[in-house]
Amino acid sequence: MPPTVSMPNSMPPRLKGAYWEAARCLRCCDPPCNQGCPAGIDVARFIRQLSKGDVSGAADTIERDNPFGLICGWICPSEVLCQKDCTARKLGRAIDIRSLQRFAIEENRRAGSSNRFLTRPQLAEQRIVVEGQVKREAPTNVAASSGLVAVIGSGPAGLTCGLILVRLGYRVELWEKTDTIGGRLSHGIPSFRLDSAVLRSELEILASPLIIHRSRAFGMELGLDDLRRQGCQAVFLATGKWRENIPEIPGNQLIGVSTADQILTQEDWKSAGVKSAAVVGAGNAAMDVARSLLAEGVEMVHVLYRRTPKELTSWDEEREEAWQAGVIFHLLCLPVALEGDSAGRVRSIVCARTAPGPLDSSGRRSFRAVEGYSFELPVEMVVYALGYGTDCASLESQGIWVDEEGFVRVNEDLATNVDGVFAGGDLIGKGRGTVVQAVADGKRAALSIHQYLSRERRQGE
Amino acid sequence: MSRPDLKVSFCGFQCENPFLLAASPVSRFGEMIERAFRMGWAGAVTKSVSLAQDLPDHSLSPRFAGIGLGGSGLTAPYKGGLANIDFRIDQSVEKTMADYALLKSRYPDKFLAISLKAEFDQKQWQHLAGLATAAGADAIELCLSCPDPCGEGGSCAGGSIGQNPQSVKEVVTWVQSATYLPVMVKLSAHVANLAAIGLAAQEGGAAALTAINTLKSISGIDLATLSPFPTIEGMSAAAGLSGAAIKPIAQFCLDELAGEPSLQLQLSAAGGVTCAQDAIEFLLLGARTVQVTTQIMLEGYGLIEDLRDGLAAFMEKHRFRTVEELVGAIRPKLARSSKELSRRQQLIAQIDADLCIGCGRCYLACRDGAYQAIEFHPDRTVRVDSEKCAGCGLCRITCPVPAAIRFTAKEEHTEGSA
Ligand SMILES: Cc1cc2nc3c(=O)[nH]c(=O)nc-3n(C[C@H](O)[C@H](O)[C@H](O)COP(=O)(O)OP(=O)(O)OC[C@H]3O[C@@H](n4cnc5c(N)ncnc54)[C@H](O)[C@@H]3O)c2cc1C
Ligand SMILES: Cc1cc2nc3c(=O)[nH]c(=O)nc-3n(C[C@H](O)[C@H](O)[C@H](O)COP(=O)(O)O)c2cc1C
Ligand code: SF4
Ligand code: SF4
Ligand code: SF4
Repeated sequence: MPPTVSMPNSMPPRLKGAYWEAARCLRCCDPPCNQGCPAGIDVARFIRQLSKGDVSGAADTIERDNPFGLICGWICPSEVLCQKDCTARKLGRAIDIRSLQRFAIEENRRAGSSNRFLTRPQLAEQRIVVEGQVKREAPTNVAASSGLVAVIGSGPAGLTCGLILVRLGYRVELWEKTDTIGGRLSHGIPSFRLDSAVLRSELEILASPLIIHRSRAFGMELGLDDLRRQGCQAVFLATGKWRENIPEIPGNQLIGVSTADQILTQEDWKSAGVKSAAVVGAGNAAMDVARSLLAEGVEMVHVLYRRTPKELTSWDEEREEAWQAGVIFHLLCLPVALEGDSAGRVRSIVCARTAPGPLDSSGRRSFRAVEGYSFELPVEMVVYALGYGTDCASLESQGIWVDEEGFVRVNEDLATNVDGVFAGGDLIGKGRGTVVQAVADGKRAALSIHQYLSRERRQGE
Repeated sequence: MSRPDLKVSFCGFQCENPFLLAASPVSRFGEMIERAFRMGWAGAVTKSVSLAQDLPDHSLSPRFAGIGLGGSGLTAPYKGGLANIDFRIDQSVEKTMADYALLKSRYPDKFLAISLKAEFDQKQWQHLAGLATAAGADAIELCLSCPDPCGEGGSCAGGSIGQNPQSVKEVVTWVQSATYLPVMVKLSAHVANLAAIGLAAQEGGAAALTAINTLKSISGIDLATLSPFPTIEGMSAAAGLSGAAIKPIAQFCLDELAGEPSLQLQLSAAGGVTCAQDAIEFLLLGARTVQVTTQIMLEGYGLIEDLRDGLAAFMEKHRFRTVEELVGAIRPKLARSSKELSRRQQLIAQIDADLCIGCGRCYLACRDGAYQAIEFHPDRTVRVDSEKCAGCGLCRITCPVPAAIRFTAKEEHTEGSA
């Protein structure tokens, strides 16, 4: 019996108008939207189907290329992906592709269909987008597939790769460090942006074909050698980035100092009754932290950012929503110290004003503190949300090469330097950082692993 | 120049403008028509009164289906048409007539035609005509064209009468002898020779013709339930199609009537009027008044503001002083057949690079539906190959930006290049 599917009862306005919005699509020749979806969804086709009233066809088009189609319909930063070069923008406004995607799948689920990625009779020819070019790959030699593949990490990259390999005929075992699957979807993205019931039922469906070992971390006690000994012929590493960057400033030991993940994945801070907080950093995680704080009753939430709006990395929509929710933004300022009270609790944060300096080696403008200009904000809590790095030590200990920034080095097939070991998702670097890109990497890795194992098998014969 | 005069004389009545409610739900009872009058409609043809409405049973439910454009009927946002079955007045004939009489007494300056529908039976027609006359109507319209079977036992009335010149003439004669009011005849497009039907009505003594009534149609099928629309306990039947979708057919019918030299009757047009442009077109083709149903059903009586102001602005711009002047004004420009048109005009498409947004729709249309004359480049620019372009006009129809594609004479273009 398929797992039950959960759907929110209320429908946001953007979804109610879906058919009108779909009718607005221009049905472009060589549609730019298709080049903007990393997972290779044939966007123009699903919108055309929707505009003609074919909801189940639209859902099929989406899910044949993206098993996380519904989740992406909630949280994809489409403005910088499929919607970025949408031709309708030249008529004033891009098509709201993300909402159409969510609408098509939700309607199809309401009509009783499960995830089409899993229910279609065989794996569809997969569309892979690499640097804006759409490539089609129909796996060959599927009948002969056999063997065991290890997948490390149950985020969108790991789950997608595992699902495709299972559909290609491999046995897949997945190891997940925590007791929950889903990676950042379950530990990070707040429920006011992605409904938890929808997420839970979606993950349950997607995990159902896989063997998953929970609370088992890859690293010391489970290394590449152990996996090989267990019969794994290939490995896909998709452990994401979870090491939080923390600045070295006086006062970090005070009570009330925490990190983004402590706010996003833990509950204990909620009972502290804090009324004011400073969030250091202005990326997407910082926006989620700031909104989570407001949602739990923190009245004054300050976001502190070293640079100007031009350098902001958070998506416009996330920032706009944080702004609308009442978050106070301070730009061009750099925390230099935290002050505590007699009980060892944070009392305030001291910031220096910054000014733009010369371009640094990566072409980004540098910012330095300006002498004599500083200010102090009274706050009871300080949260560092300055981005994430990978757990490079444990990777390097397995002989896997990482670059200067700690990301795993891979070639275009997502193969690492170690034979039979592939990597993808947040783990492999800059320009990643989205669920849909993790899905795309999972697809690409699965097809590469299939090719690798087919080649190995031929050589063995 | 003074404000254009929108008045027009129709069936001997001075209408304040040419816009009337057509016989349908929008003119079902006095209170509704009164609201329309106050908003500026010049008159109304009432919903057809028939003796069958005294039957105690209910009308069918649902009785409407939307006809979608480019999508399924339920989901397509743009409804190109409306299909209806079995819409009748849910009130006795007596009450209905009393209601119309009260309305007319309150609005003596508005034109009120009472529409009648009956079987091919002299007694029924004359009885109804007597009631309409007593109610104080300005005219009687005979619905000889309803595609819906009415009357007991499904013995079809209006529809079948309107298919046959002889029966049309006979019904008009019966009614003529029972009233002193001018008689209008509402025609159906489902006939081989519409002018012959019009002539029969003229011989019977009619004063005016209204064209057209709804067209017979099947409203589509719900693929979830495999039942046709509008679904009534899993079943459905043919319905009457109205709205934008039927406008070109209504205009063709009007042209057939206006183009018949021996036909002298005044013409009223109906079928797919959605805006002032549509209405003005009907006037230019030869109608003196224009009747509307479906667009009112979709957006309300407020449509009259667009019709009235749009007509006034048009008349001012083209220096028409009275509506009479524009009735039939473009008739000399309609050839009797495309064979009579000149082949000297040869055009070529020209794309304005500034306006073009690079969607490539024109390219696809020309490639798969015309002459492969448009190039679509990887940088999303388009170019017309002047050698291959046949000037057919398809590309402009597909372009989302008005004026991005223009047509110029072909010679101009090839000059010097030969
Ligand atoms: C706060 C926040 C908000 C975000 N919002 C969005 C958004 O709105 N839209 C969007 O598209 N993206 C968003 N992202 C980014 C997105 O969630 C990630 O890009 C995506 O989840 C990466 O997928 P992944 O599979 O590579 O890694 P992850 O999702 O990080 O999954 C990695 C998994 O591996 C497990 N793991 C780690 N180490 C080990 C180990 N040693 N052994 C075994 N398992 C291990 C982890 O527990 C985890 O389950 C957000 C991220 C954050 C932090
Ligand atoms: C629901 C409905 C009921 C109608 N009933 C009548 C009628 O009783 N008598 C009649 O002569 N025409 C009737 N018509 C036809 C209209 O008067 C009109 O001729 C036709 O709808 C075309 O005009 P339109 O496109 O503006 O709707 C009806 C139309 C509709 C939509
Ligand atoms: S680019 Fe925009 S308008 Fe063109 S097909 Fe894609 S969604 Fe439609
Ligand atoms: S006018 Fe016809 S032939 Fe010429 S470019 Fe347009 S579609 Fe092609
Ligand atoms: S259809 Fe119009 S806007 Fe689109 S490419 Fe052609 S000329 Fe340009």
